[in-house]
Amino acid sequence: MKRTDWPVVAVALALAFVLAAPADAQRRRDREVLEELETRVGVLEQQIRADNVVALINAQDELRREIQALRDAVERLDEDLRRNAELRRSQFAALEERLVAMEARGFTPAPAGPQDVTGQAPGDADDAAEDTVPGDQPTEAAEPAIEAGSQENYEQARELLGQAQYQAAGAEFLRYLEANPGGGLAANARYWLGETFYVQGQYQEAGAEFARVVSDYPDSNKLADSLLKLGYTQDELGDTETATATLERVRQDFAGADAANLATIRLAQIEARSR
Amino acid sequence: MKLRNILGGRASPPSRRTRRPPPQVLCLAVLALLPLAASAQLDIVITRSTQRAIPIAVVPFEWRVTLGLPYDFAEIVEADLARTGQFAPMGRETMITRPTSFSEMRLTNWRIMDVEAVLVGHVSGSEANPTVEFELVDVYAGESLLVYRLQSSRDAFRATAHRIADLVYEQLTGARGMFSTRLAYVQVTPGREEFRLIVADADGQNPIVVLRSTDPIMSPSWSPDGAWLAYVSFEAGHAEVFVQEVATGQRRPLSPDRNSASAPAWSPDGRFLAVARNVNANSDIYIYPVDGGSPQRLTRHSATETEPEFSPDGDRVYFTSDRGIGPQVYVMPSRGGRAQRVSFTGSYNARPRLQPDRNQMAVVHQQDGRFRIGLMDLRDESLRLLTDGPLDESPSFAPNGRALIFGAGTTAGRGLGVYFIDSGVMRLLRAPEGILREPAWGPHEN
Amino acid sequence: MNFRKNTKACLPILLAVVLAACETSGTAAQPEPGPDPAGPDAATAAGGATAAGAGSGAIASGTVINREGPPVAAEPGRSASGDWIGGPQGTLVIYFDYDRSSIREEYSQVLQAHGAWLAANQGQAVRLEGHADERGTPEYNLALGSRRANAVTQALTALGAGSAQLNAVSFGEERPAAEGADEIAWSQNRRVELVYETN
Repeated sequence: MKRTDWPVVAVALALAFVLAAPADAQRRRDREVLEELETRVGVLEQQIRADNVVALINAQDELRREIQALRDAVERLDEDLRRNAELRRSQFAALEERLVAMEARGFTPAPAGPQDVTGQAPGDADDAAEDTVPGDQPTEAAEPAIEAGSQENYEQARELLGQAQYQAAGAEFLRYLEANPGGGLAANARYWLGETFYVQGQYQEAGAEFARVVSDYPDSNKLADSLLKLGYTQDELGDTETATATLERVRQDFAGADAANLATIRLAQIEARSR
Repeated sequence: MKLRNILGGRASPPSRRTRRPPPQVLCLAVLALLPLAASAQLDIVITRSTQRAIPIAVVPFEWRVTLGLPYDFAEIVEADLARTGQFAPMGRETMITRPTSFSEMRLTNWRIMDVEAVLVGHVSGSEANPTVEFELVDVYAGESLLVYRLQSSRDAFRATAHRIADLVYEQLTGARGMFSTRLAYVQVTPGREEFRLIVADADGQNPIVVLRSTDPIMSPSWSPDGAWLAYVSFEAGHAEVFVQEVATGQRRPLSPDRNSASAPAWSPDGRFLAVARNVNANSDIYIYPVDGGSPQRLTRHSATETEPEFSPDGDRVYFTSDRGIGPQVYVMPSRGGRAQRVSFTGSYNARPRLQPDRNQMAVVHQQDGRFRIGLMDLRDESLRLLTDGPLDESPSFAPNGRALIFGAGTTAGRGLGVYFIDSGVMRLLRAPEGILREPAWGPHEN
Repeated sequence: MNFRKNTKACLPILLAVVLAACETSGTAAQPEPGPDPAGPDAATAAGGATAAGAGSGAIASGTVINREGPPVAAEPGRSASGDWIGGPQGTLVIYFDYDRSSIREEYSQVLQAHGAWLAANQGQAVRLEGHADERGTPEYNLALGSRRANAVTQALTALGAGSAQLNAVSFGEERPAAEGADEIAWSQNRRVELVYETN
């Protein structure tokens, strides 16, 4: 080593020595800077996370509310269904009552012949025709003779109806109608056919049958009832406007009859519902 | 208190002829400010009677033994009857005579006044333990409807008067009287510095503080025998249910755990309490045996289930749940099973209370931000709103079902609202200081 | 790093870095009127703050650095601008909408700060008191207050607090912050209060 080198070495050593401490400090500072940067990133992450956490908790709350709303809707629909079922049950009960009452009054379908004026009109007991004496019904009484076979179909159908075997009853009514399209009980058979669909909730089919009674048998004693039930089916199918018009017509055209009263009640229900 | 019907009362009320328009009930007038003013509650009429009130005369009872100041039984009886809105007592100053028994009465005098029934009576025996005899007379039929002799005592004069009012009310309306019952409610002092659980007579008089706390007190509920109160206290830092014997003040926590518990309701046999218990921020209904033992969880749903109420036969529990979009009333078997929704009108029906012996239920109904007390028919689910709100809550039926008390937040002020179902009269009970809330009407106690 | 091997070459760089470091920490430290930074470790600093308790002005914050970006809190409980929004000196009331228990977005930073503070101070507990306005039945409002307290509990748990540190209770409508039957009073009563337990 040269002499002249000594100072250099000394300075270098000194520098190294001097620098050693700052280097340590420097490293620490570096670490600090890094840590600070990490913290900064961490804080930013946390802020984002905080937003996410709140959003998540709120989303959960939102979901809860949505489920509540859905549940509320389901519960209300259930209730509507329950009430409708109840209404229908009471309608069945009334229907069966009417059938039983009719049978008790000795209703036997007219055997045949215009000479038979004592036979009750083959409508149901609540028909408008019931109020009129049998002699006042030349059209019914004057109907052509009914074949025995199809008459059986009709009776059987009524019996099945009484037993709540609606599909079987419907088939029998249909059989009667096919065998006897212009028969004296055709309007009744078609009306009851409509009823079998109606009680099963097949409103489209029911409506078609009721509409046919109205169009094909304008003089039938089943006109008012058919129109009423047509209105019901229209309402069940959601066509409130047409239903209202139909029921309105029943109310006006058959004022005083049961059908008109029932139409009034249904109209009130429709109005209450729409409020 | 001894009770003896001397002649036996007739069941049918007297004839109610309408000869003149219904007497007007004072509107917004302070009516019953009794001498106990310092502790007494103020009683204000908010809505008037919609029905014709029965004109009646309550003649001051004659004291036949009096030494000091005679106690005015008739005044209390008259006030009780008038409060319901179903009766229109005639003023004493208009009474021409003051008979003390049926035999002294000249019926024509009363018929002229258009009074239908007259109550007369007298007090005899010792001054400390007098015998009160009274008779209710049907003026038009000219016959006695009710003759009673009651043994009273100096510290039971008010009770005796309420008892007489009960008997008259039952005779004339057919419904058992509710004047001998008690109320429990919470008084919150100004600044909410103190919460007081108070037991008072049905007319709001004789308020007695049965519990004081600097922490909130909520939801008092009477046991079916009227001996106990269940309520919620926050003294442990969270809602906790306590039961307390009214007469002795002895109390114990029903639910001593970390979970908050609230809305206690007694089973009709007094052996169980239905309670809303909050576990992990989920409130469900639990059935607690009153004598201790582990609670049975009744509802299991993530929504809020609270405000239970047993059916009169104890077989079902009605409660509020917000499993739908707003709180609605549901019912389920008290041994567990499927919950069925009961209320469908509008989006807020809460806090069901069943009307005794009727198919009716009182609820808090909210619409357009107004909270009102409604009466729901359980058969057809129709809802009749009884009060105007806008902040009415906590309905509770009188045991005869003919009146209900509730926490009234009316535009005329806050307090305890009392609604008389037959007359449509609503009254407001207020304290000289603080707010009265969360009332519970106690059972018949005799 | 090999600056020792080539000291001379590295010297200027080193100096530059040192200067830069000195400058940054210096500029940030200057506006802070408090005493010297407690230490480089943020957690330790916060721990010191806890020990200091309520001495709000004396709390150190030497680790806030200020570059071009937005100012950033490095200390649990403080906001980006250095204010206390979490911890015992933070925002202690969280308000809610009517009949709702969802947390308004404006509170996410506050909750984050509380969560971080609680994470850094495991020994500390906070009581979350849920409240409701007076509308609706008292019992239903008790449940509503509970749902609100629970929402805040959930948030704080997700943001670092231990579940043992949190205690949710509901007072329903029984302890309003403001009396009155109008929206002004009601809006102040629909709230969750954070009550730091002193121990």
